[in-house]
Amino acid sequence: MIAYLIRRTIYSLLVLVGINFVTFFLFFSVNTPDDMARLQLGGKRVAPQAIERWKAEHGYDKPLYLNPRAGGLEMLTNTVFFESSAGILRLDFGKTVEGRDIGWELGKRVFPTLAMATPVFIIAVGLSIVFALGLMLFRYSALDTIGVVVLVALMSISSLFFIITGQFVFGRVMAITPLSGYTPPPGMFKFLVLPIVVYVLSQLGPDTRLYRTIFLEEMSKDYVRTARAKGLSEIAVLLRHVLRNSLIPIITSAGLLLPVLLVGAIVLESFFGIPGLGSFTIDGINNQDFGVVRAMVFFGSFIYVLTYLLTDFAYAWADPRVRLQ
Amino acid sequence: MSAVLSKLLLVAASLAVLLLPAGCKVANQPYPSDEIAGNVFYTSFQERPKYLDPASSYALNETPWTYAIYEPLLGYHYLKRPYTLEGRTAVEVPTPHYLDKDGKSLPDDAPAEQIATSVYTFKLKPGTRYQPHPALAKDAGGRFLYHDLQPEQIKGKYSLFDFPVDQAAVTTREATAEDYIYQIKRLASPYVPTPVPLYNLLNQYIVGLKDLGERLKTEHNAALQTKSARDQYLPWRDLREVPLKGVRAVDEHTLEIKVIGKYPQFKFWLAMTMFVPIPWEADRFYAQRGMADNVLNFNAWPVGTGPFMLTEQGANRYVLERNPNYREELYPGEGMPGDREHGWLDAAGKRLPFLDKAVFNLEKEREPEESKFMQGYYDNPDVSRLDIGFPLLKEQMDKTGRWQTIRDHGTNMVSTLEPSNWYIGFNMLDPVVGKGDTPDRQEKNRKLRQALSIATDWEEYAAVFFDNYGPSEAAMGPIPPGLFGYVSGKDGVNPVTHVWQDGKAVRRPIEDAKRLLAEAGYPDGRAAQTGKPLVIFYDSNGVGPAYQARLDWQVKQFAKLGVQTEVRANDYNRFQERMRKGNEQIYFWGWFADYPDAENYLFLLTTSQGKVKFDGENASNYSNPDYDKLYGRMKSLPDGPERKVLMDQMVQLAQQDAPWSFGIFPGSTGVYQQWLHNAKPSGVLNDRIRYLRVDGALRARKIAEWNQPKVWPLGVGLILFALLLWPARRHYLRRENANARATRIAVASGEAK
Repeated sequence: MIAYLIRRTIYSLLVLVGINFVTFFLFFSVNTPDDMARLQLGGKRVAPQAIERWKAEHGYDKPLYLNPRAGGLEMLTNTVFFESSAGILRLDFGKTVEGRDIGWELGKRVFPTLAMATPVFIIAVGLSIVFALGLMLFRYSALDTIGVVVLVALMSISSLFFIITGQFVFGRVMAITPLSGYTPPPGMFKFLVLPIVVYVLSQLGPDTRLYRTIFLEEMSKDYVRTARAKGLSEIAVLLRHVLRNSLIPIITSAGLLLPVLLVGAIVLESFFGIPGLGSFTIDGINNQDFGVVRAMVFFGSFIYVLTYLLTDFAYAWADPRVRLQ
Repeated sequence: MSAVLSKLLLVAASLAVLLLPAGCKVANQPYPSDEIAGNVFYTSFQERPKYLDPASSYALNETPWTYAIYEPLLGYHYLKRPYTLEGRTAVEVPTPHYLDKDGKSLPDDAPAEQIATSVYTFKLKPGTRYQPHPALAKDAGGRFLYHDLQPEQIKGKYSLFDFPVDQAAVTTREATAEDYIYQIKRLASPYVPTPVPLYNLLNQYIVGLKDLGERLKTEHNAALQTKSARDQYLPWRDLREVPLKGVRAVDEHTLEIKVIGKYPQFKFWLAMTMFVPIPWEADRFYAQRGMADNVLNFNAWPVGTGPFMLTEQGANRYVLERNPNYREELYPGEGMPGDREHGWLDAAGKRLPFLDKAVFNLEKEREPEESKFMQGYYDNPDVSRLDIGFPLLKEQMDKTGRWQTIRDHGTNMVSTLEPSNWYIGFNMLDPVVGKGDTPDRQEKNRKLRQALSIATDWEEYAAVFFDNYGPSEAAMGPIPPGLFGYVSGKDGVNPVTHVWQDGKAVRRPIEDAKRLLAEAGYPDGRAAQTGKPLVIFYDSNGVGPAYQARLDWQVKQFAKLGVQTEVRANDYNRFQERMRKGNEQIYFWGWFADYPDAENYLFLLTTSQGKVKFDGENASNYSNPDYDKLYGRMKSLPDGPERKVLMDQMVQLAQQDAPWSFGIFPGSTGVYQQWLHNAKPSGVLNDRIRYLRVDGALRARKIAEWNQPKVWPLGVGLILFALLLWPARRHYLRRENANARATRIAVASGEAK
């Protein structure tokens, strides 16, 4: 187990370093430090001296990858890439272009994101399992067919449609939830209801359909027939046996949902005005703020890596036959 | 199972019955009820302000905060048009006193070339006091409470309110002339992160500012050399100690600024937040080690003498509250014809500001922002912008969409034309559409530009893209309406592109453009000599579906002449790069005035502003010595007949040379709720919040009326869900009770499917 953990940690570090480099390469292939300076300085009446000064103040006045003017090791270390990367390896994310500490911003923004993502994760996974098990009760019947059609329809609709329709129906027509906004706890709940409902709805289609397929496959196995032969009711068969034995693929798919929820709710946070991590990411991209973009990519990768690790442990918990070596 | 289902049905039915009657309480309100009925102004913002430091801020979206918190020396009269400067913290707009190179006084009408220095003397309004601030807090013994903090004392503090001032004997002081000097020095100071780019313009005019900048830069660099790469902290630099030759405090309430030469436009800069008082105490307070790490600086927590102070700031919400130390300022008593009918003079002579609080909420997307405005939750969406109302105005004009709601809600929509423009520019360095290298080529290229200008039907553009530009006007020249020098009617017609017919300007027929095109050497859009089609390369400054319709429209305009257009869709970075390098042929761009003077538009076509040569704002790289000469004379003259003649000549030159297809002057539409008073739209006045008044009681009533919750759809949904459970229950029971044979057949038939 320890060896497994060490090995996975080393792999993870290599992945994170690689992602850091790729992010840097892609970002500066599209934007130059001059572009960043112009955007920050407003684009109007920007003299070359102002650009040079901005770059110097923000550490972008050096070569990106290789500094031929410097000697020895400084050729590599006296560069934008090294200086910006050295910090992130110490988990110092640096500052935004406006001078705000990125670590502090992350700390402030993680709560609104978690406040939305946690209930979404629990409700979406829970409801999807319930609906998929429900469909199992009526498999191959007209109800099952209708259910599958509805699921395919839900899967086919863009999340943007759910957002706009949700805001229109619940916020405008029914006027029972605020259209957007956020306040710190405890007043946040009324603002989170609609985004949670919308996000759960958008997740129900793909998740329930996946779980239904998993359950169907499991239902055809011999132990299910044995359970039925013992005289167990269909509900008991599903809950005690099928669900338990389907947990590994469910954990895998649910595990993949978690990082998406934590970092990926960009559109949702944007439309609902929630000051979370997704909104921070989109601000960073719009501001051409490399520090923010890199921090968010790094954070997202870290969450992915961590989730995969936790998923592996969950496998071992769910299935005693699995050994982490 | 049956029992469970029955219980579920019972619960669903009960809930449905409970939910059927509409509740009477508003459920969707994003603010507390008592605040809604209070003296609070609600608006939105799309992007968080980057800089609130007056030495750094120059973006339009930052102005709602900066102009509410700080007060420049001068400002614009709220109601008068054309825009009229008046004293803000200064008593009045000073008349400069001119000196020759020997320091001798010159008369007010001295020729510009004799004037070596212009001296501006400002009498400051007494009683201008700063907002309460911990930097100014002193104990009973006169000692500053928070000037000598250790980093550990700052740890964990991220807001000004973490430095309580309730025990302080003093928390404010009067702004003095020295405070303006301190701020002007900050413009040149490398100790201020990211100062406003305008420093590079101002240091050409304010005597000694450039020298001060150089001196501080050298000193700052030397100080940094002594620091390690990982600790670049520098202690506070007291800018009171460094002299600035051109600015002095005559006494506590008199400020003198010396400007190189004659520069009448200088007064417009003085109406911006670069020229506000800043207390040295605040600079010292924020310079303490640990403050910047905790985002405690002018950008996060500004300190000003304005009518409001920032009390809350975060990723999605900013709150301004009334500055309790604000001096007595009164609402203007005179305005323009029609202002009284709008009710804009009802508050004449009353003390400002009217609001206790202004709440700004983040709205990144237009859809929720508009919807919340329609629900009454914004008094004026995005106070910094005047284009939010275009879709609503269009719906009202066309009687489509929400027009009935707009009518029933009594929404006020006021449209104006503000000083800004959008145009197509021709790169004069380009061999095809540019100036040309021989007299013959120059004449032909000019005709080509004129032909393309006629073919681009800007009147149609304004109508088709109303959502983007509002009630706009086709431009006849570079000077927008509302500025001295703009000519309307017959005299203002651009003779190259329009004729005056039946009392209005009509675009010349396409045949005129075809004739010019043929004379330019491209009959029917093909080169006369080679027969090859003429292809124009059009650089767009945006990509994506939002731009596509506009690009397609442009292609169609030139196609009317048989000219092909190849669109180069760039993101804004690449677009700017191409412009800087002069790689474009024609391009679409715009300009929003820095200040309301025609000079701010006419300078866009001067040689010294050439984009490629001088990295200036003349993106067409137009260069005409006659134009430059006229500009040189015009810019130093006061508004009057002499200046007007020169402006007319410049406009005529620009019309004939056609470095731009003059495009449109976009409209502005302010949208306001019926309970918001004194809201006169303006694209130039940035301190509008101080004049706004809200009827909170009316707002609360209307919001309650417009937002009655309708919960019956939930009840219907629950009943439908309950009904769905019946067949499910029947199916389940049938399957559970089936014998082995029936089950086998059922399963087999299912698998066969």
